Amino acid sequence: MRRCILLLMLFSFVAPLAADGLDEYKEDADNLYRTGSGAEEGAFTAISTSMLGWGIGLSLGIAILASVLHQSSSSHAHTTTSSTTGQ
Amino acid sequence: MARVLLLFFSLLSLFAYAHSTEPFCFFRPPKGWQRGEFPKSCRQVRVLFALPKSEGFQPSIGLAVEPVHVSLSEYLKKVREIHEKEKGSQWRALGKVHTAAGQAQLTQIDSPSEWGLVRMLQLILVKEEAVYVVTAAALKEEFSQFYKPFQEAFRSLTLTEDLFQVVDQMERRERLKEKREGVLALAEGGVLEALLKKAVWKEFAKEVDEASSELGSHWQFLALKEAQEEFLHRGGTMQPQKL
Repeated sequence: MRRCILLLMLFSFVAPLAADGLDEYKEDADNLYRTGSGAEEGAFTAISTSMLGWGIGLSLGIAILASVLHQSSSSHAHTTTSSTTGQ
Repeated sequence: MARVLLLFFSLLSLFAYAHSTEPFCFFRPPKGWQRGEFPKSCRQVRVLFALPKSEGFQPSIGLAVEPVHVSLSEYLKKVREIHEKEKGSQWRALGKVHTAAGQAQLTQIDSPSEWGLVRMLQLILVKEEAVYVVTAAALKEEFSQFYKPFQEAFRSLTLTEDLFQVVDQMERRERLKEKREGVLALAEGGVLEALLKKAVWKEFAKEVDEASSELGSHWQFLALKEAQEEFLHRGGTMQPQKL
């Protein structure tokens, strides 16, 4: 019975360590390629913030222009129709 | 002997499941700068503050946190390699800066963009298997206007396990804790959406707002966010549950 409990405790200790070991290996492997990524992302974000602002501004501008053009063409069609029918 | 081994392995099992938590890290951004959006792909960036501008390059300052197992000098070597790979970019180390979180290294990167040459200062602090990078950016020709607020932001970089511990006045600290507990008392079965309209939340937010005049808007953001996350952790939900 004691041997069973001992084996169980040993397994419960080894299993998370093994998982941690794999995680650590993966992290080490990642770090070979990714160390410095915090600084890289910080710099990228600083530049892209302005681009995001421009992108949103441009999208809004296009949407407003499209809306104005649509309204303008609708009112023009109405005027043309009334001029041809109302004699 | 068996009993000793049994005790030994049971204690080790407890340690195997132990988890560490990331400390709070914040800096004091320049007054009037607003929290901005940043690409979701930048998963290590925690926050960004930018000067509201209708056109042109937007000066900004942000924080990124990266888990590392290297020294500051090894990290700087990697960062230099990364920046120098960018066409037209120039990187150089400027020296040490003493911050509230400890001594950090300041570096400068000049990088071309559609708006002209962008100058970035990166403050790099390595502490307990994590690196904290504060990046301040502005057009090179305008940089002198922002040098002083950037320096103040760098020096204010703080690491803490307890956000209220950094509040200077004891009375204010106690009031903040009391108001926070008042919010968390409503967590069990509570709804976050409804909480934000209640007087108890507004009183807490007001207390945090007053403390932020000294600690800055980044600290304010963290204090409010932490309380909301703890509210959810203690049983609160985002929206009313449909029955």
